Amino acid sequence: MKKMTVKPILFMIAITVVFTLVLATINEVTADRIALNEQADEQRSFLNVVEVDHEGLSAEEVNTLFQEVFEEITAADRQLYEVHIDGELQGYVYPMADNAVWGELRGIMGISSDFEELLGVEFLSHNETPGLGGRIEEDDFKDQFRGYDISNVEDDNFIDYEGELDAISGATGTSNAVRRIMNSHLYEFFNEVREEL
Amino acid sequence: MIKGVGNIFKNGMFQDNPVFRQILGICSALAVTNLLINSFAMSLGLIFVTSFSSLTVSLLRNHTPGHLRMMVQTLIISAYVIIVDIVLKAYFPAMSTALGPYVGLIITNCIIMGRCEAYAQNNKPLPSFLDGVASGIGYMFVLMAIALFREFLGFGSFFGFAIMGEGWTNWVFMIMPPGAFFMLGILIWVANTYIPAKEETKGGAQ
Repeated sequence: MKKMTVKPILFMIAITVVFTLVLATINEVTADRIALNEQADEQRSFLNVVEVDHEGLSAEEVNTLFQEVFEEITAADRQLYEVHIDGELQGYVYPMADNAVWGELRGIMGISSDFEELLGVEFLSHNETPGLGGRIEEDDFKDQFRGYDISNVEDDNFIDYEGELDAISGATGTSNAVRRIMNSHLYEFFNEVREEL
Repeated sequence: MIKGVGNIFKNGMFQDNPVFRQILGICSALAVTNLLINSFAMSLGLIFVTSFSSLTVSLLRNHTPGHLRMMVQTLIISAYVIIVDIVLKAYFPAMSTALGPYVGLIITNCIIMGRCEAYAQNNKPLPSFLDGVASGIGYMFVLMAIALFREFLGFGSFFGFAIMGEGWTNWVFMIMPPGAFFMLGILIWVANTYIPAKEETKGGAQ
């Protein structure tokens, strides 16, 4: 039987400890900055929904702008955001989350203050197939929702792909999931949240 | 010494170029080359990781038990890749998003382990470090060449500056991954035609 030596084991332990310490230190030093950047990414999505320009702003500046424009409120036990631009109430941003084809999809919808049209849509996180369902992230898809008329709707049929909106070819499942999630959240917004605003 | 350094760079960049001669590191070469700036950042990351991994492997080579060397190399490479990933996330978030998962995948980039195993394991620290830099530059050279054509044809721009004016029609094909297959194929063809292959005397890695 081969003789067991402790040297290789000690060597691996030592080298692992050294590298782990170095990485842990770097991680610790940068953790706050990374958290701020991730927060800024979400805040940029919010600003996109209401078409506020944030081109070239740093994470801190985005945060300041976000605080100016959005005010978090609670209505009917649900969290949403009021949108104020130049001191006027422009509308509301309503978060949505539900299962799409491959996992949870999180997003936000902007609704105008007269409740007649959508301001825009953004998807914060999803697990859809890159190149197929993942294309919901593309501006061509999202921009269709800007100014989309949601007044005079029967039941919860707020959006469908029969008129102005185009689904994504090759990604019917994801397109339908987006429709289902948006419709159910809009229904919730109009039937429960709106009265308390 | 000077001649030795010259040879390291000549091999790393041309005669043993990791991408078009050894056909290593292809997946990232295909994935991030639709814009010059992305290729540039990716290459800098790779140069950093290859050179410092080679240096560290070489420094530890006389203390590393032979049968553990692969484990140690992987550990060292992963540590440097995580450093690159964290730095990008903290200070260049836009670039981090653009490169996506490919930064983390540097760990599995065969160029790095290849250089550690073939060169750093048997050579002194300084030449190993330079060998890592040379291979990294060889990789950069190929990525930038592919990206130059893909960005030019796909967006009509150079490092993000539009140079073709309004009348230019973008070749959407070039922005998509298959465009990279064609560019890489053409590059390997050109390289094999114009850069003489090293004479096979000993065979295998030196």
